Amino acid sequence: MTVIAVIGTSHVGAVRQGWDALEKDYPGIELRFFAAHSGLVSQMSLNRALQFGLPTTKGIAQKTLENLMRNFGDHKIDLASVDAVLRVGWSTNESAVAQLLSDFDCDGFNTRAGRPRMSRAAFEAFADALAKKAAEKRDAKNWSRLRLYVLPVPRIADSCANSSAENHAAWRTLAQNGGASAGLDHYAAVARQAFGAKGMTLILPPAKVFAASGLTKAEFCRNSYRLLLNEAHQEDDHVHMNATYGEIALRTALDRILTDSNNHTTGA
Amino acid sequence: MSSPYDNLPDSAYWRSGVAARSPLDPGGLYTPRFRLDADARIMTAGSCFAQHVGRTLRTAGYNVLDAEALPEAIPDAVAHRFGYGLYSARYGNIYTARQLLQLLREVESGATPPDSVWEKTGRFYDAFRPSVEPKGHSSPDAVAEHRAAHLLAIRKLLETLDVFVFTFGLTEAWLNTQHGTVYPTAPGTIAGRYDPSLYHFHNFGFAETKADFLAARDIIRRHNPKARFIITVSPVPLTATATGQHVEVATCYSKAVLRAVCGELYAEYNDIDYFPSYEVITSQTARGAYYEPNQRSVSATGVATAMGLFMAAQGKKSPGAKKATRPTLAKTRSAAAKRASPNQSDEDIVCEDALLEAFAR
Repeated sequence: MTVIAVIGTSHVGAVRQGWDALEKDYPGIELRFFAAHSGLVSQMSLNRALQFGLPTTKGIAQKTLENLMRNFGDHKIDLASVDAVLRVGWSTNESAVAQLLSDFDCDGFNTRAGRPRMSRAAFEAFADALAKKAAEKRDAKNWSRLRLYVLPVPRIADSCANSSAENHAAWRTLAQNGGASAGLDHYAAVARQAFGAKGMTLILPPAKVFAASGLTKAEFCRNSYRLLLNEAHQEDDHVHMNATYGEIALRTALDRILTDSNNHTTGA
Repeated sequence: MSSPYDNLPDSAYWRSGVAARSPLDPGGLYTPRFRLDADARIMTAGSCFAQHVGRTLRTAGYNVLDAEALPEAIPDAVAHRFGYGLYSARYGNIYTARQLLQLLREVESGATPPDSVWEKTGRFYDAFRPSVEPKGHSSPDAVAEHRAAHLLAIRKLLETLDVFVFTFGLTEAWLNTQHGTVYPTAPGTIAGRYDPSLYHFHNFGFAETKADFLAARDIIRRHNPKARFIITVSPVPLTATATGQHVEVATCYSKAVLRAVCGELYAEYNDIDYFPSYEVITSQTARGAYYEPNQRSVSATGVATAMGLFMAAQGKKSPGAKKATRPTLAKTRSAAAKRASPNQSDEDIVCEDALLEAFAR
């Protein structure tokens, strides 16, 4: 039995739902889930005993703690006893890249008439810096003792084309104008490298989840559910994906983890 | 018998205004001519010391425009390497009033001055801002295309700004002899090739500098009749002089010209305020403490003191009290804050003229 801890933010919700459909396909795998909203996760750390969770419950709302206890039976999860960790909802700074592609006419990556030009060299340097920054992590020494896989925050769905949310402005521009794929694809490759350099494997969902605009297809954010409350996300939520997306992304991750495990076992 | 020097404020007398001042106390050197409103849209430009000015204003929460703003998440060091985040657009350092005027005329007319592209090892550089693309462009056409988009960004700035903050840096410059085109760096320093038959050295005098700035001001006011100006003189000495004089003598001349121009501009135009950063940094009370050991670069303490004086006089908290934002032109202050420390020395700023040291024997 291969035990995998699936930890992270609200995006664990889609993965958790996806697992319901996948479980029968992976009889030799046990998943242990542990998740909280991103604000809380950002306060969590990995100690030397490889316990991931809140270093202290001081200052944490009682209701939040009760939620953790009810769903996971603890404020932390033991990662020492698992074979691999899949960390879900890690930001790769992809939104900053979206902003570049939205605000600039980047040589070789997009065409945005009337916007300031950005050279290919500048875009690549910024992409590289953003990816390296995203791959930096707290408690790096402790994390390096784990087989760590990262399933990042999903790329926003192209349903955001009609959203008025200020924080979706760059993605909205890309959804409306298209042409972001080359830049986002480049960034995916750079991010994969940057995470690899830090001993992590970045799991990116397959091309089939993306629309022609480069954003996630709208169908994958329809009927997405909130992680702990088991209620649908709001209609203007283009960030959280549904069970189908979770299934696709998780399958990609599990296949990679198992391949690595087999390679490890056979010495490949 | 009375004298016109009777009963003047302490600041009018050297003994009470300077000699009695504690070391590193900038004193009351600055009384703003007009209040810099917190929402005033500020465009910054000038020599490399102007980077400190812009950064401090931004850090203090002023609405410093950036027409080519990058996302917050991009580290400053990488952004600066490509000329982003240094000024309100990516024009690099503007050392002379002539350079400023040339840029604004180009923005207005859309006609780029001749000899605007320099080559180096098969790559092509914008001769008016050669440091913003460290590896240059693949062709002269690419340089021109990027420049055209950059000029559009500046035009938007001119139409948007309320206050233009300019730091005068140098009087010495290199010009194209046939066309009079002026450059921020000597040909051959970053790119291009020095050919004495094509380029010549020029040390701008008082009349030229004043006329150039006033012409630049006219352009800005044509786009924006209510624009106001804050001018200052960079306290950073010349890295090298081409006058044949000792560099210290040449520096003194250059700064004297710039200071005198600022003096007259301030005296003659109510829309122009002068901020004495030069006086603060070079003050005898500081005993040179505001310079780095190379006695040229302004230290972090110097920057903090000069800009602290500005902030205090403007009724703002000291630099560092508020995190800076990386604003844009359209939405100038909404981005999440997390930017540069105001306590940065000249080591952190981008200064092409420092490259001249590489040519020192």
